[in-house]
Amino acid sequence: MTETPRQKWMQMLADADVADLTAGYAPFAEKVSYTWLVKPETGMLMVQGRADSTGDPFCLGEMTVTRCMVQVMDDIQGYAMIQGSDHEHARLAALLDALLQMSDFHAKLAATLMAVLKSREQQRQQVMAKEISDTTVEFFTLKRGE
Amino acid sequence: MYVAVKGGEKAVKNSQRLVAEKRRGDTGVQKISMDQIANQLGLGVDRVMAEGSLYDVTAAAMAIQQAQGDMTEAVFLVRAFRTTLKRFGNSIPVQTTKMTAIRRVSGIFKDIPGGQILGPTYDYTHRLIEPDPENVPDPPCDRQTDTETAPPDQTAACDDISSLPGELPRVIDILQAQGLLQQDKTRPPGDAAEDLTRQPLAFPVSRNLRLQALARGDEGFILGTAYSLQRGFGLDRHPFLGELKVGYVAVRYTPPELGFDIHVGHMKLTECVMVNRQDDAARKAAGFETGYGLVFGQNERKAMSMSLLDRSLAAEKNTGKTDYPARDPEFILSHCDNVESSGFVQHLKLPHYVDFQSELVFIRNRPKDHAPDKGNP
Repeated sequence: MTETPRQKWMQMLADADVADLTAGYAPFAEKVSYTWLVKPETGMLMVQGRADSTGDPFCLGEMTVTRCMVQVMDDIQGYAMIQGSDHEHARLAALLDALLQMSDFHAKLAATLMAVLKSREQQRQQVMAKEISDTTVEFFTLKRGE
Repeated sequence: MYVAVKGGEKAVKNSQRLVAEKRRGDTGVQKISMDQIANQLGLGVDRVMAEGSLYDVTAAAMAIQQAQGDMTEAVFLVRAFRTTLKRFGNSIPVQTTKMTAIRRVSGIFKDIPGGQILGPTYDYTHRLIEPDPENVPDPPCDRQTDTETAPPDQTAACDDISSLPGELPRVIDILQAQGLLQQDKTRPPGDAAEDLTRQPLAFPVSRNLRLQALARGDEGFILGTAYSLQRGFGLDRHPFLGELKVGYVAVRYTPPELGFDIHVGHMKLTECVMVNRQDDAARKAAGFETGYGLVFGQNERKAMSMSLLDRSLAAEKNTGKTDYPARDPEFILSHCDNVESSGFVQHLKLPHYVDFQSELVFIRNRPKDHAPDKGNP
């Protein structure tokens, strides 16, 4: 299953820090008018796991999420569902989702915000990869009988 | 005669004020923040999220503070909070096979593909209380490399940027490939799961409800009953740790407004597969059976206990015997929830003046009956 570009940027926006989104959206804030289709609301998703990791699904427990939907420039709709209960994060993610669907905004955002988010994600992954490789056991066998 | 009694309003208000004061403690000592709890008491937060059955770090940290560190009380607060939230839907089942594992160990094979990853764990600490916690330095930055084993060129390469390891193959697949695992392969995995929060627990209980009940059950109860299995109350053979993983999985959901699935966030999970020798009597072949555990956050003790119980409660279905508590689904699943159990035990603090009066009346009238009491006490 390959992801569409929109699925990819929605993932980056959902995982992003709010401070980065605020900074990334700031240059467009004045130019963009929007209306709420669904105002930010906090609720839950029932997260499912699978028995034995690949078998039948079961309900593992819920997760707090916040979702919202905006309409930008009369015809473009932006959607966001993010983890946690930060309404501002959801608002910015939905607005940026809408902007990224418009080619002129997309080009500007790709060079600024999305590049920042990408490098942050790479940094996070590098730190984690280092932690993993540092604590991975290397077994060795002692040569005996000498 | 029953006389309605009112009163205590002032005392109740003062008690609420007093508990708030006691929670705050000495005002000369700095108040702890949510960030401090979320960061420095992370395993406590994990436990409250798991038993509260809601993955929400902020809510769990607030609950721990409000409950003055009483974990069961904090779990209650989280459960109460979740009842105020609307449920948007079910996630797509998380793919633990694609987990970014920060810890992964196996007790049955030394050289597992992908390696044994120790990660952050207290297993290899000395468990000595540091004499002066104020003066404990922050963790050192220099990381140890296995100079004994690593060839020189690899040591030099440690400064390079390493990328995340790919998908780890499952350890039980090794057993499966050798035909040593008994598995019900008659049907493909379904996609609808029953939900304990939407339906009462009725026995016999399906496996997906059992796993849900165990995943949100009390760690102490689950650990204690799993321990009873190991001590001989229901398990004849030594269980083995097939694989234990701690790491992050992506949570995905398909909003009806969009019609395609999106990534919502990451969650930390602990997954455990326990392996038990279980010979197939029908095929007259020796083999293994597995038990499965999956828990929010990092909680290896609970995931391991859960997988032991998953196995023992499944065995009950086959044999029809309930010799031991830890093999009795009703005993385990009806009593593992700590919000229910602490509520029922603690309700005894409520006024039982009238109930008790009936006991007194019974005892006082007894000599008049002359008949020995053979019924209810």
